[in-house]
Amino acid sequence: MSNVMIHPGIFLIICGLVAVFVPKIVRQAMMIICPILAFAFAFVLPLGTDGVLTLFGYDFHYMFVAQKNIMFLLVFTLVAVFAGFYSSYAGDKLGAFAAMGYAGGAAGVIMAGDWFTLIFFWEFMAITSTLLIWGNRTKKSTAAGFRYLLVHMLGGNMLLFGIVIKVTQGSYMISNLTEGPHDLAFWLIFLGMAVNAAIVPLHAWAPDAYPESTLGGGAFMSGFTTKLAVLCVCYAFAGWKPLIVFGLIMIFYGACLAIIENDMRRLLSYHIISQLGFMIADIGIGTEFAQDAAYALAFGNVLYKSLLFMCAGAIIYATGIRKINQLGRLAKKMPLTCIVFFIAAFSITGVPGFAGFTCKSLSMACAEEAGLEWVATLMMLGSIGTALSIPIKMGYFIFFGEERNIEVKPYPVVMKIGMVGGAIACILAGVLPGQVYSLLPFATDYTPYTISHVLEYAQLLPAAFLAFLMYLPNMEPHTALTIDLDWFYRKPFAICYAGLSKALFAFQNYCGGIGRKVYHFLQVTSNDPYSFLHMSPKNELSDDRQSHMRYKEDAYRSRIGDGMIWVIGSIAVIAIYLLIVM
Amino acid sequence: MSKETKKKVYIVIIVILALAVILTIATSGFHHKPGYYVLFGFVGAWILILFSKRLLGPLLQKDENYYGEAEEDSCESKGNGGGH
Repeated sequence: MSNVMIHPGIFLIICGLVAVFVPKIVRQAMMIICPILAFAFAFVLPLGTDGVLTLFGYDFHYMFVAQKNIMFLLVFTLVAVFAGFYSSYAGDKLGAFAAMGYAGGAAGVIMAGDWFTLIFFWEFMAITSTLLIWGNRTKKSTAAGFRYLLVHMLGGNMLLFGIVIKVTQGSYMISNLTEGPHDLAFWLIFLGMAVNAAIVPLHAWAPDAYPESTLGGGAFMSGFTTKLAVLCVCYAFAGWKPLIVFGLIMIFYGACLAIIENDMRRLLSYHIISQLGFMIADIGIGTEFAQDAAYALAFGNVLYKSLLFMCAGAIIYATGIRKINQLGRLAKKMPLTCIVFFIAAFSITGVPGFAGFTCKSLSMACAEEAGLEWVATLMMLGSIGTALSIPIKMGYFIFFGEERNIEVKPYPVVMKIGMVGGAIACILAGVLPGQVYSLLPFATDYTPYTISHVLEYAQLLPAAFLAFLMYLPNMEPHTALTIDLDWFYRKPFAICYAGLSKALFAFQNYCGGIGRKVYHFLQVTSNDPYSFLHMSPKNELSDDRQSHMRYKEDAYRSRIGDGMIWVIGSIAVIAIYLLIVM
Repeated sequence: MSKETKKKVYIVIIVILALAVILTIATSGFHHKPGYYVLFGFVGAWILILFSKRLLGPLLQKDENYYGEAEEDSCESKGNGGGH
């Protein structure tokens, strides 16, 4: 088996294309089976694989597997398995192609060894993820998808330009740019990656687009685009100190907006930004331990954030409601969803025994180790925001809270299978930290389960809950829309654009008006040149043969006798002349 | 949440916190600043809640139809789930 090497990403993309042309039931089966096979292919790829394809004189390192990306490859294909199960219920062509193509593109980015392969799969993901948003087929999702596509095309093009400059400078393989010159290529690559990593202030696409995606699409998208960008930022910018500041801003920006948000999936999207903040700050710290911390958190985050999106999707499917303040007391009506939600929520909060405790603890520890106690303290404050917004606020208001007599319809078994699979993975990652850490690029040796560390969390989280309980009457989110930085391109930019368009249209109309006048004048003139020259008609027409025409040629025609006189007269003159001369 | 349930939850939380603090003292003595994390969690949560709810909320939250997109259910949640 060891010599069977199939690129799991390209395999998934081909499966996605094939899925378009097969009957629905086969397509649904493919949504389940293909990601499982892709995971198997990823699992058997040996470390050190470096598949090269030579085209146009370039070596494309399209299948590069090393300690620095094996963790991402395994967890992404694993989550694709769960999300594949979850989204197989729909069985629509667009959804199947977009989901498998997107997951395949993600695997392609992970395994890219050179810049060009990276950008190829990067752009492919942008397109397929847009399809996952459009797949929802609502007016809002269409508009959000367009905004998403525009932002990602801008980011993708900046990355592409940066890469082209980098390659022409001679560095063809993906490498760390922190030490190198901070030139145009550096900034373009950084901005391109920052868009996808949702680094504030380039983050607004995430809470804008994710809530509008299809239910299954959300399970894929929540995990992949942003965490992949984290991987790439870690490749290229590990140790670049300004990232610590960006990361801390993101932690609080995401957490605070998650606390006030009402739409379930929008809340989770804000929270993605908060979690990405931890990873970006870790990357900024840049030590080997810190890079491992970013990897570990990304690993956990892909698992439990996708699971949370699945839970939110299941609730939307079963109730048709996406607002937290319209939900309540679902614990008894949707017991499985409730259990899975709390497993994911405890994981993301870092409750001992769940994935987050394994994955998140490293972030604070690496900041302390690097002598940045203040960063560690702020990170801890940020994780209180996580506790407040997800397990406490979402958990309380959705599954407990007020009775609102919500009708709940059953949801497909495949969705449940995907969710239970994700939940089991979260628990396994929580109780087997050693297995998770063995996949880290620098194989950090860290023991999360010490008595003092467990006791820290046993104090921190209940204390945060106590504050929530005291403020409970005011904690319920309002029916409102939180405006974000997308305001700039949805309001003033849109107004400027509309104004410019109107001005140009008015100018075009004006020029067109002048043109029309000139044309009309020429038309009239050429129709009836005699009237333009103010020549009066020679003949009064007796019959009305040409009365329907403006220009009546008969009115200007000479009588035939006039012509005859001229001809005879001329002949007479010539004859007389000839007689005289001869 | 009824008043009685709330009271019970308060008691449970306080018991957990007290146990955690006692265990911290029992295992590592007083040099780990017992109760530091209780205070940190409690004060931190208040800061975040008040900052978000009192300052960010009124500042950033607008009417649902602010961008002129009328509320519309997704087709997946409306009927047979994913049937387009």
